[in-house]
Amino acid sequence: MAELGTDIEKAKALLQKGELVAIPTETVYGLAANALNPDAVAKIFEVKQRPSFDPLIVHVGSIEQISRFTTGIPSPLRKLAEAFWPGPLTLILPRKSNIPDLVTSGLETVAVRIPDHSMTKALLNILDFPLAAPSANPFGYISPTKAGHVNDQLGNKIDYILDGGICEVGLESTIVGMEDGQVTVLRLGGLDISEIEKVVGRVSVSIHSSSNPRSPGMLKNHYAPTKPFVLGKLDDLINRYDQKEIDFAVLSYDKKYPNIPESRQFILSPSRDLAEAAKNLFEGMRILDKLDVSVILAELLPEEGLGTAINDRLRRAAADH
Amino acid sequence: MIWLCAIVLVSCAPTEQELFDEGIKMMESEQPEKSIEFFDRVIEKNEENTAAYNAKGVALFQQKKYDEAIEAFTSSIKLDSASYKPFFNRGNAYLEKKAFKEAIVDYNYANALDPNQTDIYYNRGLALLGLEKYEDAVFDFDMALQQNRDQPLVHFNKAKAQLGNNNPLAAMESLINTVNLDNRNAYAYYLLGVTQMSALSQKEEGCANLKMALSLGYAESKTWIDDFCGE
Repeated sequence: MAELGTDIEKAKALLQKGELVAIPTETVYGLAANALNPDAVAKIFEVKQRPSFDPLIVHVGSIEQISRFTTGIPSPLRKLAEAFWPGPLTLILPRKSNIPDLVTSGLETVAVRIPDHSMTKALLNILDFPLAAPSANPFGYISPTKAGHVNDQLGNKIDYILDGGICEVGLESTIVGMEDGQVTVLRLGGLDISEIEKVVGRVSVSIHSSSNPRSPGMLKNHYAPTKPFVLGKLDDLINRYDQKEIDFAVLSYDKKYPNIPESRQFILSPSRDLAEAAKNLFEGMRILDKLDVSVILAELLPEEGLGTAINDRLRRAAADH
Repeated sequence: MIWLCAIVLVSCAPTEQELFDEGIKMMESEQPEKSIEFFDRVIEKNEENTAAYNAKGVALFQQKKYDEAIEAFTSSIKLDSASYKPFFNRGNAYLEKKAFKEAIVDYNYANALDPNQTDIYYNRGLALLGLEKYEDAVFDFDMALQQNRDQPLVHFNKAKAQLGNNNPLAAMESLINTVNLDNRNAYAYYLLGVTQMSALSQKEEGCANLKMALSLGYAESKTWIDDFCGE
């Protein structure tokens, strides 16, 4: 089982090494990793066993820390940050490239907030990197509000849980971004729209269902290549498209195809390592999408662990066309 | 007086078979710990009782003590390697430990000893699936289905192997067989829906199956429905 404690130096040391640490926030315990380290972020998805990749909320200790991984805060959003942070407000900001794709699900924006919990704030303020931290529960389990819950659910997969007592039971954070130059509420949560409007005036609301708010991952359309994306057995697909004389690129799990120019293929993990494949997935799709080809051919990965989430993303790309 | 002692002696010293039967009863009433005590007493009486080792292994397996179970099955095999059961059981313990290669070796022995046991094909299929040997896994699932087609889990795992083999069309057929036999398998509806949409652009059918998966509690379907099944 994991060790429970209040030693933020120990938590810092583990996070610096790329390990996961459970941290308390005002709503639930989060499963935290260095948000700038793609290997550490891949571990989050591995441990949570989620069958899909969703953007993760990045936690910081101060507004100043945000400039390290975003290209800036639009003025109305800065006003909201100053008014409501720390607290149940998440802002969607334009990302810099040092934020791994796994944090943003390949989107060009990143979700950021300052949590309102003294222990976690203290931790964030001694770290020189932000923390990606979805709720510390495996897929299908209820969100943990006590350190003991985390230990029960994930104690055999992480080393340390920062014990910040019982989280106040609250709503998820309200998510706000900019759309077409307008402040837009993307998910309703603990911060009321009327409070937001007191600071920035009238806002737009763009949510799919107020009674069932979507997760941060589903704020916007998922990332998908613009080119047609076809899934299947690569050998067969390559033969078929060769015969049709259609230009194609190949996204393969581990195999290199000697008869195809190297520039037209992207191998997710030559050693068949699902964590490496997850880390490379968005980059691979993006690189191939920029090529002068008519179609991207791809194959599914083993349907287990991170493979399930990778396949979900590949299927979404294929279903888009 | 002599008769009384004889009766007491008999009642105080149950036979090997009585102890074994009592152990089986305990196991059937889901008291594996108690059953192990009985099997140990059988083994104390007769160190060569292969059935007792095998039964003890099953009780340990029920308690998820897979390493100890493997030890017990191995003892059983050493005494009598003519029965498929301890090989099959040890294979199952290896399968639980995700020691797929070891599991397959044992299933191969079990299969050679009794080729008519369909469970051996199914479980070996699962081990092959774990090793990403998809074509071989499909073959074993087909062997299991030859004996009885009405096995939704076999169709379901066959579909997984076919998906692993990047054969979505065949997988869809297996998934349809799965949900036809078990209309509560939410994950099968989900996989069927996403495969229909991603492999064949069958949005209408895919959305219907995703909605079915959602209604059965597979929450992950919702994001797909939101993204692809808008009115």
